[in-house]
Amino acid sequence: MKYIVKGIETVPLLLDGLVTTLLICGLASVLALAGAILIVAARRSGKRLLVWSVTVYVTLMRGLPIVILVFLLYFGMPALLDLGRVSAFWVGVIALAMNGAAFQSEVLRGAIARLPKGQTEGGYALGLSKYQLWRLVLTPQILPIALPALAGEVGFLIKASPVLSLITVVDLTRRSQQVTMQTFDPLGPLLAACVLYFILIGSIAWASRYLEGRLTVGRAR
Amino acid sequence: MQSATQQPESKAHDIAVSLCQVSKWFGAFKVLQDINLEVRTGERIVIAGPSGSGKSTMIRCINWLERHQKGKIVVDGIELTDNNKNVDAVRRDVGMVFQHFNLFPHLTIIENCTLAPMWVKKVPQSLARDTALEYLEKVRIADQAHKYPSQLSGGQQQRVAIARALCMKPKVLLFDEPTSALDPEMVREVLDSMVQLAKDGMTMLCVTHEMGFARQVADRVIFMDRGEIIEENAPTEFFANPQHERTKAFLSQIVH
Repeated sequence: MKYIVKGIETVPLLLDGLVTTLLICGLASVLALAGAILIVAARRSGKRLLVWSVTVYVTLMRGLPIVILVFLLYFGMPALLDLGRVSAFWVGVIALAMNGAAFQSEVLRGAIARLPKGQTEGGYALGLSKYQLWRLVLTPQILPIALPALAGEVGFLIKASPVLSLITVVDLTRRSQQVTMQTFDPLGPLLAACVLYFILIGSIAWASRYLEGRLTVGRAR
Repeated sequence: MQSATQQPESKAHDIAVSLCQVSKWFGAFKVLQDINLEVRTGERIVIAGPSGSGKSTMIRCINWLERHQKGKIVVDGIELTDNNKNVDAVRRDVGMVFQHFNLFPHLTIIENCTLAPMWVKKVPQSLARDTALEYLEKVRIADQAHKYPSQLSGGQQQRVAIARALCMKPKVLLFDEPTSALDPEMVREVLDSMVQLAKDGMTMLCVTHEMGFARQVADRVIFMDRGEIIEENAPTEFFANPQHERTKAFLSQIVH
């Protein structure tokens, strides 16, 4: 009980770390989704070189530990391109976005594969343009299918983000360790970080379920 | 609303659809072999033949859902080429009813019917709704306008699909086995709607196995086998007096 109280008392000290985690993961998620859409578009383009390169990209990203990617971008790339010091914050955003884009593109691909057959032909036969077809017919059906898995991927990014404390980003995890070093309390700050991560990821899962309900409302399937 | 079914006066548009020496391959397999077909405005054509004979592929070429590789297809004076403008123009003029309806499950019945008129033809919403209700009334399903497709039976969904196609006021309607996916007791209601359309003078090309429908409304029955049109005739002649051996064999199997 004492530890729980102590943990909760430590929460305010971690808020700036929480803000950094939120910023990095928020930006990375948005960029990842944009990247995922581009990857899916490239895969569907039918252009052999394009299809091949994004397939290799996705395979690489899915097989590479995030920490290696982060080190490559933070230590390797500046050395290779003679960039000097790079921003740890933006390396964090880009690394998570690159990784997230690969996984989210697989989610989108799966959702597209689950669309009822004949929707594309039905739209084209009515004279819809390709843009209208995607905007009016396909995307509204893809979203409710993809949303829970996309939310899961965002949760995954948040859980991967502590790796950035290895490259000096003062995120929630790093901040909790700093507090430990100042207070000599090994448990309280960690418990506080636990609570904050838990609330963050929990609220994303909750928001996705709420949105999913809204998107499918009135639709008896 | 008769405008969709009125026959144009001008002589040039007397031919609604024309296929000239049209060929198509799936890989090395030739699905369409030098197809020649002219459909006059207002004509009702039933296309019959064994499965795999190319009949669906042929009508799907008419609205560019499939591309022909040789020959010439002209719809209402517009030739189908790689030119997107022509394809769009043809698709605006040609409606299609599919075997599996292909309604949009995330939209209500009325929204299914107003989507294309509003976005493709830029019809104002209120006018599009009026038109949609009129056609839904015509296929006797206006009372379901605010339901979703999944709440309707197969026969009802197919009638909605017919109304949805009509809302674009097409000059030609293509039917790709419209009753093949239906429970037997729902075939009648869909055929009734199609007969009504035929009576209104709609230019129709129907791929179907419903030979009763062919007898009742068709001006011409076309028999296809292995990618070729091997026989065509008025329905009475076609059924009473088939010329080709393969037609005879097919009819003996399908007509009891």
